[in-house]
Amino acid sequence: MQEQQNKQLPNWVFVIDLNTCVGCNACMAACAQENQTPYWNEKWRTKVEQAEVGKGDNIGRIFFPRLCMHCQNTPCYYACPTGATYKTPEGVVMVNQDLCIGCEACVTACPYDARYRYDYEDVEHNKQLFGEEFSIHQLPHIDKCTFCYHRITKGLEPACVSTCPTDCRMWGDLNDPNDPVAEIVRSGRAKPLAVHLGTDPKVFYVGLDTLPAPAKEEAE
Amino acid sequence: MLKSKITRREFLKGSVALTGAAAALTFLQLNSKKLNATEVYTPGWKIEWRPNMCAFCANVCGEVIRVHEKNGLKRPLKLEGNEHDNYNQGKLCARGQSGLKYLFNPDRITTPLIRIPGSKRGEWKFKKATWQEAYAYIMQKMQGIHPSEVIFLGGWHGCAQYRPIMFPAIYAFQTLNIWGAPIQNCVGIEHIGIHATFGYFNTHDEMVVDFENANYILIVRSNASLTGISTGRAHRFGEAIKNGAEVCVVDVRRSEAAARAHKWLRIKPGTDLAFALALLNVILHEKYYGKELYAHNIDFLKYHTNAPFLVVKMKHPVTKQETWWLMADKVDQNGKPSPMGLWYKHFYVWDERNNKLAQLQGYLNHNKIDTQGNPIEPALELNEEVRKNLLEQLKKQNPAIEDVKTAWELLKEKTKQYTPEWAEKITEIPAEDIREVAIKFATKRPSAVEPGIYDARYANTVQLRKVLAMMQAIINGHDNIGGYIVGGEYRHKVAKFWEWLNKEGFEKIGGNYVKFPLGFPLENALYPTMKLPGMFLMLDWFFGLIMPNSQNPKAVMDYLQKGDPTLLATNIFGYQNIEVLASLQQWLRFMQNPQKEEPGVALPAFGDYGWDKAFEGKLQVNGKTYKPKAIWGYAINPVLGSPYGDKWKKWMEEAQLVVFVDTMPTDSNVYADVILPDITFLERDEILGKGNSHHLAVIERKPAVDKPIGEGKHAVDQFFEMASGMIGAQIAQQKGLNPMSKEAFMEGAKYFVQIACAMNGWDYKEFSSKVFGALQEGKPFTYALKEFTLEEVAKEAGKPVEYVQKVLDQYGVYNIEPLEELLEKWAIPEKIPTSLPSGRVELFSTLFEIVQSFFGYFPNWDPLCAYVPLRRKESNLEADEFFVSHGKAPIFSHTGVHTLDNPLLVAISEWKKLPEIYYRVWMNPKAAQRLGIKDGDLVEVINTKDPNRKMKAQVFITEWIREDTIFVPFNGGTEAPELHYAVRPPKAARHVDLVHYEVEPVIAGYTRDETTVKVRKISA
Repeated sequence: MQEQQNKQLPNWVFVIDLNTCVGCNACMAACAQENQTPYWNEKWRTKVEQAEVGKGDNIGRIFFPRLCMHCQNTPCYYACPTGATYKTPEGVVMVNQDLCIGCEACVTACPYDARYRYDYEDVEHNKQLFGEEFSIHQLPHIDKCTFCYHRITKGLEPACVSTCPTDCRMWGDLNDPNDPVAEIVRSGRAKPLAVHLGTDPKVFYVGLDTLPAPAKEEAE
Repeated sequence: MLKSKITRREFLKGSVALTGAAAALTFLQLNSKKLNATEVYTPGWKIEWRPNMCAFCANVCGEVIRVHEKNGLKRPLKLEGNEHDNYNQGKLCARGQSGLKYLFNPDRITTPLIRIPGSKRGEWKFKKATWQEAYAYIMQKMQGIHPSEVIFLGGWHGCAQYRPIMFPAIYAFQTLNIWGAPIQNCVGIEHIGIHATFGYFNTHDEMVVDFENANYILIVRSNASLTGISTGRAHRFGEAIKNGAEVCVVDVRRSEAAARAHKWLRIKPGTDLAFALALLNVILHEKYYGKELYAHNIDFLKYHTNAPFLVVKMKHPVTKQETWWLMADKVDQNGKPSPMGLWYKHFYVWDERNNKLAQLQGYLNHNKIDTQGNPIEPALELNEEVRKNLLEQLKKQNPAIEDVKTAWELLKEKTKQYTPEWAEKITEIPAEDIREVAIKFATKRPSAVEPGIYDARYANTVQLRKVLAMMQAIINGHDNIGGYIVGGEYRHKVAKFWEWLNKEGFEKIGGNYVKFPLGFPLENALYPTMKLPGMFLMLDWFFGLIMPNSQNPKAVMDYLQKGDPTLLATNIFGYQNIEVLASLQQWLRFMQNPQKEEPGVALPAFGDYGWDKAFEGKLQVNGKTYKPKAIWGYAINPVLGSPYGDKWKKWMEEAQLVVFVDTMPTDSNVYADVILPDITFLERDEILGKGNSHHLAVIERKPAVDKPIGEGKHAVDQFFEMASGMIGAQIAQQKGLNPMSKEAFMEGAKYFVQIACAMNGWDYKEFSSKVFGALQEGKPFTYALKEFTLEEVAKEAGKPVEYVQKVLDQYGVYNIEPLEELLEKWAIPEKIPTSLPSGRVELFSTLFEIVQSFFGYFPNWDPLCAYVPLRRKESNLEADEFFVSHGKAPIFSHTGVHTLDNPLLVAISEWKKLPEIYYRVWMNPKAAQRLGIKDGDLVEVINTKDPNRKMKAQVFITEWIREDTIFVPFNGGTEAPELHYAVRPPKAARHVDLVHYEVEPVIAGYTRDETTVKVRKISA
């Protein structure tokens, strides 16, 4: 019975192709607008880091998109004392705003720096921007990427994937045998970050192995 | 091939793919998950999707607005790319995504504002006014000001989105002193070389490269047009990389595009033309496995370009320089044979099939038949015996002819000198790298070179883009998968014009060729000017509106023999455009003293050439000082966007009247007397053509909010009202009516509608009934325009109006006909001609030849190609001296304060992990060390060509830039006092302060980076 139900559920994966990111930051803007995140206080659920790698004529410019890895072995989930951090049946890691006490145990536990405080001040500012009625952050809490759970459960892609001009960000379902994005993961072309931590992320990167040495080490 | 490529695209893009087969039916029924979603966020938040089109930049991406409804309240919460728009295919950039922040920006101008009497311009002392008060104020101030004393400043909005109304408005105002900012700043100078080769006005996005299906992509000094960012192009670029395309980027810095390059060539700034010429040299002269590199494309070159056309060497009739000319039967305006004529009735080729000289039809898409209809085989190269005999034959007819070749032979001869070894010395790129790029470009087909916009600018840009365009034609032909493909709207225009020519046009013209003007004078127009495709529209305006006497022998003789340019420079309204007059006067000075004087400008229209003289009272016509009195600006910011930025402040301070139409308080409109609030694109309700869609398509804009914010009014309505009011007042005065009465306004409106119909080829009865019907019901002009457009689209598509409206309501975009079908019937030049005087793809440019016949030979407009040396110091730079390069940041739009003052975009740029790379001046660590400069230090940058031009900025130290060069991001630092989110200089560099005023002679393009700068540390 349980097994049958699991079969119905998607096994979502998020794939980032580092070879096509052009550092345009459309994802950051899309996410901030969709999820009403406090960009005014430099807080982002997703971001694109830039780095110089190499030297002289071989100097490279790396764009590195980051977001919550939605680990299946979930450090933040185990760290949360109130049960505010939970996993949906599909394995998406979420925060229940009503239960969160803002203790930041999860922020410390996260090895990917994917969580931040959505403060009282942020809540108030957000209400001003979007209106009391339409603000989706009614209480202070710890905030993080939800894979746009409200979209993906309605058949839409996460906001950042949907807008990514070069399709560097991709969205797939490992349970769909015909999904070309899932195929990238199945084929082993896409790999998660920091495998040695054993976190078993749902976010996979294409092109990690072709990164120049220092960036590769950092990623690993 | 086409079908298989489409299938691949479909596979990769999943639900976003367009269906190739049975397109006409399934095409529209794209199963959009986006548009089918009715709930997002929590249950009970109903959503409504409203279509729109972004207007943060001229890429105008299709988008949909997600409007949420909760407890009876409505609010737009998110913008999404529209998957049905073939250009951006569901994608938006950061700017697009932040559109709602613009809509709700508290800094917006929401009511008409009139400057408080007694206050100084620039102080921002305005009082709120009603529309009636603002209009009355303007009308009163405009009294006694002649149209010649009015200058109009326009950005891309009017030109790219609202041409059908803006140009009639300009015509109605009789205002032809126009500065179209993108011409000199941006796409004009950048694209004219491509226009001259393929005939479209690519400036209006009439061509989008099919990168997605290309195997090799070459990007030369073109970051902004791709990854800087033009979303639809970046999207195709991303797909190309995934498909395994190889990318070569030539840039002085690791731009966003260069970051993605397989090969990055860090070229010496401004020397790209030498690089391009060397590529052409390799392509034309070297062999690959024993074959010519262009061998695969010989048929295209022979049959669809003017490469086989014969050219003869003769002296220029005025300058006596030896130059090459197309061998053609030239005719004057009346179709009479004339060596000074501008139009080409016939061309000539050597026919290898019959071994004789063959005469070809003037305007045609191919060279497969002669004028008698007999099949011919045009020779690309002549054998020496043929040449000898031909020359003898020609000399008998005209002893002035010194030599004869095909255009192809001449191109080969000219490029011989530009070897990779020659280019290496100029560009500092190793010859073997140049050779490798050329060979890859020629062999890894389909290959494509990006045409570029808004990066560093030098006088050689025109030839650079022409050479690259020729390279594209020689290797890849045109209008094909993986190469250059024109947009559906442009293609449709070409096809309709071609249809008209064959039906009645050639008969009316008096031969199978084209001549201009066709749309002017309006009363006797042969073809509606606004329906002319690509470059033909430009030729029509130039020869019809701006210089209608350019084909009048008296005007030419007055000019050449008496040195009087007055008649030649006289426009259709009987006065002289400032820039045309100033340029012709400069040409006279140049002809008298070519050693000391700079040349004038060949095509100065829509530029600001000579405006400084005019404003400063130094421009004379007929012994009188010619000085502008009133300045009108629409969606433009000259103080932040023109090298005359500071001068504009002064000019506006001195003007009798300054009016700006805008949504935001900019650096410029703080100097206005009256600011009229435009509404944002997110508040507009209209149907527009979708020019950059490969399909033939129209797009709808629906407002995000049920009522515009504040008292703003659509700029098109404002121009309709102003034009009608002002014309009405004139008519009323003649008829003895009250000039401010409704009756007078209606008289003016009638006249304006007549002009709009004549220029656009619209049915007066239909359009006027819509307009006056709407006015009677108290609805705006744009309401009528939308209704009318809807009917026009329905007529063209052969569908009921209800159907078109339903499709637009449901999808936002109506894709009338898909690319695949359009290519089948209207491939250019395979099936229909280009919009160039010969109708072929032109390696030997007729446009440049026309310019040459006026002004003599200049390498800048060499009809084939030539090297144009840089006018700057090339070596032995001092320790603190640098070359300078300039470009755009992907999150901001040029000088548009709607993105500079957008809180979300500002937040991204200030995010600490990006060390303000979009604001600071980039410097290499070796140079920084030499000068003792550390990251974040404040420096002063001084232009060595004009030391008064300088700016303060912070430094970003990075190896992404050459050691001898600094990179200055676009104008991030605005000084507009009423913008509360925007970043100020020197935290954000203000490039405009650094730029000297210098133009190149083709279209007065700013050569703003053709200098060196000195950098001095101010403080840490």
